[in-house]
Amino acid sequence: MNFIELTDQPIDVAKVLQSVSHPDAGGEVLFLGTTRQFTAYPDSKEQDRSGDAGGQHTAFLVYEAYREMALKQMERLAEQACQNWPLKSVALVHRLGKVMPQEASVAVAVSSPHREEAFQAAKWLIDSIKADVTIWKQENSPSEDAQWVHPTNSGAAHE
Amino acid sequence: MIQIRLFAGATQLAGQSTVELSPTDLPTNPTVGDVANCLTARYPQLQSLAAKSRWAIGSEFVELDCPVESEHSLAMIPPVSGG
Repeated sequence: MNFIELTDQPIDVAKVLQSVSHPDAGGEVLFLGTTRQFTAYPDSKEQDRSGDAGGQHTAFLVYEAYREMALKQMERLAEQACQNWPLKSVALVHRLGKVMPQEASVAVAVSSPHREEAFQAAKWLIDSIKADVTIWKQENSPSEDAQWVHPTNSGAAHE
Repeated sequence: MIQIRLFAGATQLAGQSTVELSPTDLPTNPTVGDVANCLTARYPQLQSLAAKSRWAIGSEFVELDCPVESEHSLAMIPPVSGG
């Protein structure tokens, strides 16, 4: 039984882990995506700023979703992961609304008999969420400048 | 009426989260591409974001050549940034 949720509350990590707990699992992998205080510029491919501590100062993020579609997509990703790897359980939780630096915006957890497939599945799940699930973030700077993020290299090529 | 849902930057640019188009605004047997063109004709400020957006009908991604029925609820899906 997979655990899929969009929530306006802080992500309850203990609950996420508990939801994938299984007597036949030899490993559980948990990924948390957290809010960075400094974000690279959106077109960083062109202006390679990697390794540079510069970039935009984020006071907080606001996440918005096309909820019905996002939930369906997340359910389907969890099912696909269970078909592609011998998983016992999958948890996908994304936070919506205002998220402060260091807080988690997304949690992916999987359990499986062996660690290898758990790591692979968790990576595939977070990559797929970021590419296709209908959720958007707005970066809010300390000067109250609010900018929706629409990366030019995301999604479209995926399907 | 054909209803279009907008999200994130598109809502901000259009100043509203839903747009309604009358079938008379569209060619006969319209496609998703026709709806997109009609939307950007009415809201030119959406043009550049629309050009890199995908479309959905009833929570499923569709291609631009997908036919649109008058009761369909469409959504313009700008590049996503969850995670």
